[in-house]
Amino acid sequence: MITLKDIIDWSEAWALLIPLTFYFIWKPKDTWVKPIVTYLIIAFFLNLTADIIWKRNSLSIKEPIENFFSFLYVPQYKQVSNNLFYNLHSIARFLLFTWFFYKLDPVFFKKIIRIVVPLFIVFIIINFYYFANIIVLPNSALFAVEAALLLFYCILYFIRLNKDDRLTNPFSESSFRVVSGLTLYNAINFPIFIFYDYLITSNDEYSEDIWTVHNITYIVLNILIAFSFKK
Amino acid sequence: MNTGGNDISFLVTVSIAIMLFIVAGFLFAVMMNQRKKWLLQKEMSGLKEHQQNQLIEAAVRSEEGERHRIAEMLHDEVGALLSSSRIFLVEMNTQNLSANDKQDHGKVKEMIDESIQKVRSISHNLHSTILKEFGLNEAIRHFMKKVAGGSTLNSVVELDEEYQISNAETDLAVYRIIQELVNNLIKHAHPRLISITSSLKENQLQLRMLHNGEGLTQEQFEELRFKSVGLGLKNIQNRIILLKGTILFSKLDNGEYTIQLSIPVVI
Repeated sequence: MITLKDIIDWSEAWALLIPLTFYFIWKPKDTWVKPIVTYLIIAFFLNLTADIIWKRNSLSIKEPIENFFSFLYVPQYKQVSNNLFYNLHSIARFLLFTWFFYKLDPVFFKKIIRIVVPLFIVFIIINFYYFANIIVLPNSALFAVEAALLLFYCILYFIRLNKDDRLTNPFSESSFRVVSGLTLYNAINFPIFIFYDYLITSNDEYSEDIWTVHNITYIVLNILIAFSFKK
Repeated sequence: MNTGGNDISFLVTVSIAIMLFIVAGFLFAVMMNQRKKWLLQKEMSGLKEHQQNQLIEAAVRSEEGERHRIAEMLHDEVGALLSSSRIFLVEMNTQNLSANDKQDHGKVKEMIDESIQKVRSISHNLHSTILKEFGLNEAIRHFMKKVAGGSTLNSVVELDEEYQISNAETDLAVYRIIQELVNNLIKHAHPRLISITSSLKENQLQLRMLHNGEGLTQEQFEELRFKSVGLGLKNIQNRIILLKGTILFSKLDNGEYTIQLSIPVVI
């Protein structure tokens, strides 16, 4: 029997199919669509793999999964971990949305991106070399920095929009819908990301419940991306 | 569950609520601000368009006024002078004139007759009394008959008789567009056939001009009307804007060209 919780738990994978379906129906031609679609495809495979590893018991595929992903075995938890995929997803999301903002307005975002991206790469190297293991835990520092930087891009986008005289109705501006979704997703999840590795070790039940909030905002983000493909 | 964990859970929940509140408020404020700017800009462009239309209307009205004044002067003054001259010439006693002088007298009379015809024709072109008295259909028929008369050009005119005078200014503008288009065709496209048909559908007067000359496509029309040389095309476009109508130039597969006008009319 599939419960509402199961549906929400799997939403990280199926929610991505909403914008991908509408992409193939409407075939938008805007220059910024390519990074978004690339993100949707990469995120779909990463999240699907992470969810399959997570739900391997209920799917009755524990043994083949643990054999296949034996390189992800974490001795202290005595099981394989899907956190590598969440961490990779976070890095991919930041880089692909950076590309999205660059495509939106290369002149406006070029200088900022030139500073932010190298700093982010340096941060990843230092973080995973000295402080965290990319396989063991979902990395709060990575998620929080990623969310903060994406929020920074979003705020810059709104500042740029406010300065722009060649204005159209904001509701009909398709990129506006993507950025609104991204702002909503990152702002709401920012407190979750900051404390997530602490919560997952100290209050597992709450961390699971709060991840439902994350999944709901992720569905909203994907719905807004899907709407942004419509002219 | 430890107390620290509970405190963090509470902090996270409250932070999420605060963030949700801030982001929702922020997005709402951005959208409202953008919408306000957009509405203002829309209003501004509406005003600009209105002002532009008023300028076009004033230019068209003054052009019509000037045409009327010149037509009247030609008809009443030059025409009257020529007619008086003709009377004097006809009443002249030619019996005592030599054969050569008689021939010259006949030539002068012929030239005055021709001048009277020309003045009348120019005057009618400038200000069509037929349009005023008998309406657009009759004016177009008369104009095409005059244009095709005595030349190798064939004209076919099939107009919807359901269309009666809707508005004198609309009729005049449509008539001027047809005049300008036909004159342009004769001058530049050199057609052997011009066909004009019209139909009235749902308060839209549809006029279709078909010709077999070297016509224009819509792209060429758009390009030419922005060039300083295309004054006639600019006039056509201005009148179309005033009438809130559309004009479409196209080339058919058989090599012929069409010009389709769609004008909203109130019957």
